[in-house]
Amino acid sequence: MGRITTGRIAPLLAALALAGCASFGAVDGVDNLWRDVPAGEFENGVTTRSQVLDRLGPPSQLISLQEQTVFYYLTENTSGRGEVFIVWNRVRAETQYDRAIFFFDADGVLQEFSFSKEEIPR
Amino acid sequence: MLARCCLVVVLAALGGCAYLEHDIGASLDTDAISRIGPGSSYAAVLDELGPPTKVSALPGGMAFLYEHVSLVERQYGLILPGEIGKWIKAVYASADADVEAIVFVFDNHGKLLSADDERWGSDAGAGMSLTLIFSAGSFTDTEQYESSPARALDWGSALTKPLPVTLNARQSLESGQNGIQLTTNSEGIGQHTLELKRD
Repeated sequence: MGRITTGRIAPLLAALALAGCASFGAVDGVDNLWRDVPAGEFENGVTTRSQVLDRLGPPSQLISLQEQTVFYYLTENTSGRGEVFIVWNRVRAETQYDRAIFFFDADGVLQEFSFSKEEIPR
Repeated sequence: MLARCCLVVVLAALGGCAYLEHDIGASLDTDAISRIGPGSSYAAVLDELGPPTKVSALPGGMAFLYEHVSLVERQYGLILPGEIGKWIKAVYASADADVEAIVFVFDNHGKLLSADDERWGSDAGAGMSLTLIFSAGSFTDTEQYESSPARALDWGSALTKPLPVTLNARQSLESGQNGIQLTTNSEGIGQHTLELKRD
């Protein structure tokens, strides 16, 4: 009985010893400093383009519209985890985006801004 | 015959399989369109959905594109017969993509002209490989689904790309000045045909 149990457990232990797991992650884009900005600091019709630049730094993308300028800030965070067994492997990855967008008029005054609902913790 | 079938089943079971998932971005609230009526300001769209995945100037206004892609790749392994089968296995992989997209088009006063949402699934490709027994990596070409919005940050690298691509950079659909395209589009169609890439 003892020999049978050992015979069954040994391959299981060997399989567990050969199995492994891994995790990985990468961050791209700018630092999401807008998550540190207190509510009310940016105000439509009041805040200027230079104040946003001072607070958040250069945007990921600067877009020229008809009579507006857009500052687009983007942080990308990819993280994942892999489980590697002998007959079953699984890798799960997720990419999250944290975004902020600012619309300025021709005089450089903030017209609208928005932060993504999806947030990457700082 | 039965013995051969059993052998194939046993080899397939020993070869193992893998399941790879990649969720890109947050799921979209496609009901938002019903809450945002025609003529609404772009501010209403920002309030409902936040910053878009892509934004671009248009000749008479601008456009917002929101996207979410979910990829699943399944791999089936088969241990090869003979001595080589101890170290190497054959792997067949196939991938599927679920895509959600919402587009908003505004006039030059920022008023909503039109909006539409779409959700679809597509075959994201298949591939085959010979690999070491213990590995779990992607064997399908899903780059077009996974290309990042952060690609817009790579503008300087255009100078190191093939000449047709560099010459086409001024019309890039990533710059926010020339329109937008779905991330899942092939790079061998539409405006990109000027870059002489294959579909």
